[in-house]
Amino acid sequence: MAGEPIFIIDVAPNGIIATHPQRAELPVLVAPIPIEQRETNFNAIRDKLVAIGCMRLPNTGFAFDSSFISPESADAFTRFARLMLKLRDAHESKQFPPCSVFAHADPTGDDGYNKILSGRRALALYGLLIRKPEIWDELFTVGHGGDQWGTKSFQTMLSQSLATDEPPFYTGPIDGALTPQTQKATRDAISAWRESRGFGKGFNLDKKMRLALFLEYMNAICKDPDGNNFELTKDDFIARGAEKSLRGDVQGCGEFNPIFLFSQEKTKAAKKDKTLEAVRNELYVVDRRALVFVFKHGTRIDPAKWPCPAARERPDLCAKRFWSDGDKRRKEGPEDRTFGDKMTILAVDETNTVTPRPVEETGNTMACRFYHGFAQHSPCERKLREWVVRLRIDGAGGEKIPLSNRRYVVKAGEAEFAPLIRGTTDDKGELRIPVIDERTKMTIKIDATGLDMPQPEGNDPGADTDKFAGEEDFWPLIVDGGALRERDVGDDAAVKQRLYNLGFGENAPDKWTQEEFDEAFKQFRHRNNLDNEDDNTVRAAIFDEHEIKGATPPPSEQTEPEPQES
Amino acid sequence: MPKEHIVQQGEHLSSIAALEGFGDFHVIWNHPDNASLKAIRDPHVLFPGDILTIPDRQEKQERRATDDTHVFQADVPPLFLRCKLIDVDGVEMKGTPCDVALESGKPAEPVEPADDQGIVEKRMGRVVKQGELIAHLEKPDPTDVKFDLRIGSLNPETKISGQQARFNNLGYFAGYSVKDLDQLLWAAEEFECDHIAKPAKRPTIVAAPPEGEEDPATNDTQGKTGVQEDKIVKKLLAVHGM
Repeated sequence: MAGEPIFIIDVAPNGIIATHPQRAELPVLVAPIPIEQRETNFNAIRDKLVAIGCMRLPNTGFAFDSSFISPESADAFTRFARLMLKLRDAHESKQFPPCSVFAHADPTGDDGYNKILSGRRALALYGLLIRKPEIWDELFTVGHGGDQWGTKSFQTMLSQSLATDEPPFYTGPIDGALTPQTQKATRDAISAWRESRGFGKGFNLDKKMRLALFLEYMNAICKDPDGNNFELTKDDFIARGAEKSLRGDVQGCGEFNPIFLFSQEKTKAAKKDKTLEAVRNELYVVDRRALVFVFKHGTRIDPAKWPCPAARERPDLCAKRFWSDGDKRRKEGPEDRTFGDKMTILAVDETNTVTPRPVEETGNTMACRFYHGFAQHSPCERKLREWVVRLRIDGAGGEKIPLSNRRYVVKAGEAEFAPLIRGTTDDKGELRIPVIDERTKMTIKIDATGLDMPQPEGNDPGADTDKFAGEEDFWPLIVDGGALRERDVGDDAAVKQRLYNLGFGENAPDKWTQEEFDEAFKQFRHRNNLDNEDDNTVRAAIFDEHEIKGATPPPSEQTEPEPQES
Repeated sequence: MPKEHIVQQGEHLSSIAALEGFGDFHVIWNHPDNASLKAIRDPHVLFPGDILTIPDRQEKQERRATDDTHVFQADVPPLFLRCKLIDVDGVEMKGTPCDVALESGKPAEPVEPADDQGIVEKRMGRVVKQGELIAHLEKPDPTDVKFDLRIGSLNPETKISGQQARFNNLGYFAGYSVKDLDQLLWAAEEFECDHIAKPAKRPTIVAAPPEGEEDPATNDTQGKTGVQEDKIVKKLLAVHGM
C-alpha cells in the first residue's frame, strides 16, 4: 500500500528539493474513424515525458569557478535522499524514479567555456550520485580554464570526517598549499590518510589512491536522513548510461538558461563601476546552479533521440533546440528580469487581439525551449502558485476532524474536458493543486464516506493518474477559485465569504440577505465567545480563523482556497 | 421538411446519424445543403456550432408474408477506434499488447497487439463517447500506460481547442485552457522543431473568441484560431492522423 502523499517544497540556502505540482490529467480527445478512412487515418497518442520532482544545488554546492562539489552540499543531498526514498517507497515497483542532471553557468563569460564548465559540474554531480570516482578523476586530471581541482580538492576532502568517528586529517585553510605552513600540513594530512588506508606513507596521491579518497569523500557528503549511504546506480537515470558520453543522463546548459538577468543599462554601467560589477556578480550567483530532475517511474529514453547534447559536447548543438527568439530571451532587457515573473508574451486585449510583448521585457530568460518546458513547472526554477485547500468536518462530539489521507479528485474548471487532478489529502486534511487559472471554479470530490473507514489506499501523486474505484460517489464541493476577496475588515462581501467557508449560512454568500448575514455573524461571535467584543474585533477574528495557518478548527465542512507561493 | 442540427461538443456525424434515426451518415453528409461544411470538415471532426441539414427520412417499403419472421438490417457503416501508440522517444509501440474498454464501467478487454505502425484498433458503436486504452509496455520494465479516451470530442485542427488536443496527445503540452496562448506557442515551436525544422520565427497565434471556443452561440465556426502557419497545421494533422 502506498504511503502518505508526497508534497515536498523544501527551500534552504544550500538547495531546493521539491516535488513538482501534480500534473493535471488531460483526457485524450480522439475522433472515431469510418471504414473508408480505415487504411489511412488514426489518432496518434504519445507517452509523455513528465518531471515529478527536482533538486537544485546552488552555487555554494561547488567550489568557486570549479566543478568540485563542496561539503556545503551535504545537507541538500540528505534532503534529496529523503525525496527519492519517499518516491521509491510509495511506488509499487520499489525502484527510484529515473533522474537526469542539468547544470548551468551565469551569463558572464564565453558560451563555449561556460557550456563545458557547466557540463563538468553536471558530470561531477552525476559521478557523486552513482559513486563513480573515475568520473571525478577525469575532472581532476584534465582541468578547464579556472576549473582546476588541484591541491585545494585534497585539502577540502581531508577536512571532512571520512569514516565514522574519525577526525579530519586536515584542519588548516583551503588555500591550495600556498604557504610553507599549509604545504607542510597538507603533506602531513595526505601521508596520514595514506598510512591509515594501507597505502604507506608519502606525499603524493596516485590514481588508485585518488579513486579511494574521492569515494570516501562522496560517501561522507551524500547520506540519507538516517546517516546511511545514499547512492543511485546508472540505471536510476533516464538513459541508463547507454552512451559513453552519458547523453540524456548528464548535460551542461552553459549560460543559455539563466534565471536572473541584470538590466541592459546596469550591465553597461557595471563595466566601468567596480561596485556595481560586484553587485552583479553577487546577483548572478543564482544562475550558477545544478539541477537533478526526477521523472515519472518507468521513464526511459533513447539517448540518440534526446534533444540535448552530452555534457562535453559543443554549445552549438544546444542551439538546435532554442526558441525562435532564443538569443533575445537570454539577453539583458530594459529591466532586471527573473524567470517565472511576468511570463505572458501573447497578451489578449478586450477586442481579442493578440499583442505580443517583446521577450526582453518578460521573465522568459531561457534560450532553450526544451529546458524551459521543465523549468516552467518546477519549484526548483521558479516560484509556483498552488491552491491550498483544507478540509475539515464536525465530529460526533463536536470536535473538528481534518479529512486526512482521503482520496480526492479535483476538476479544475467547468468545461467538460477540464483537467483532473487526483491525489490524497495530507495529515492536516490539506490538498495542494497547481493554479491553472486563477478565476476558475473547481469541483473537489472527496472520499469522505464513513469516517471510521480504514486509511484509504494512497496514490503516488506525481506519477499515477489512475481513476479511483468509486470516485463517482465521492462528496462534491464547489470551490470558486478566484472569487475570494482580499482581507479587508470593512468589506462585507469578504467577511461573508469567509463566514460561508467556515460553515455559516445556507446560500451562496453573494446571495445572502442582510438578515442571513447578521445571523451568521451573531452565530460566529457567540461560538467564539466574542459576545462582548466590538464588530471589528469579530470581523478580524473571522479573517484569522479563515487563515490556513494557526487557525482554530472551523465548525463544519469548509473549503478555503488561497493561492500561496511556494 | 429537412431540419437543422447544431453540433454540440462531443458529437460527430455518426452519432448524429444515430440520434436522428439514420443508418448511414453519408445520407446526411451528401445532402446538398451540407456541401459547404463538407468542404472544410471531416465528418467525425465537427466543431460545436456547425450547422448540419438533416434530410427527411425516406420510408422504405418491403413486402413480406405476415405469417413468418423476417430480419431487416439497417445499413450502418462500421466505425472504428484507431489509435497509433508512440513512446516517449517518438517511436511507434509496435507489437505492444493492449486492452481497450469502450464506455466507462466495463472492464477492458484485450485487442490485437499494436501493428507495425503501432496502431491498435477496435470496432465501436456510434454513440460511444468514452473509452480507456491500456498499453502493456514490456521494456524497460513492465509498465502499464493508460489513456483516458473521449471519443468524438476532437475539434478541427483550425481551432485552438483542436490544436491543443492534438499537441497534447502528441506529448507537447499545449495548455489546459484555450486562453493559454503561451503554452500553445511552446508546443507549436517544439512540434515544428521535431517534425519540420528549427523554427526560424515565432508562429502567429490568433486568440479564441472572448466567450471561449466551446460556446456555439458566439462562435464564428469558419474562423481559424490558434496557430496560423499552414505548414505547422498541416503537419500536425498528418502526424496526429486525424
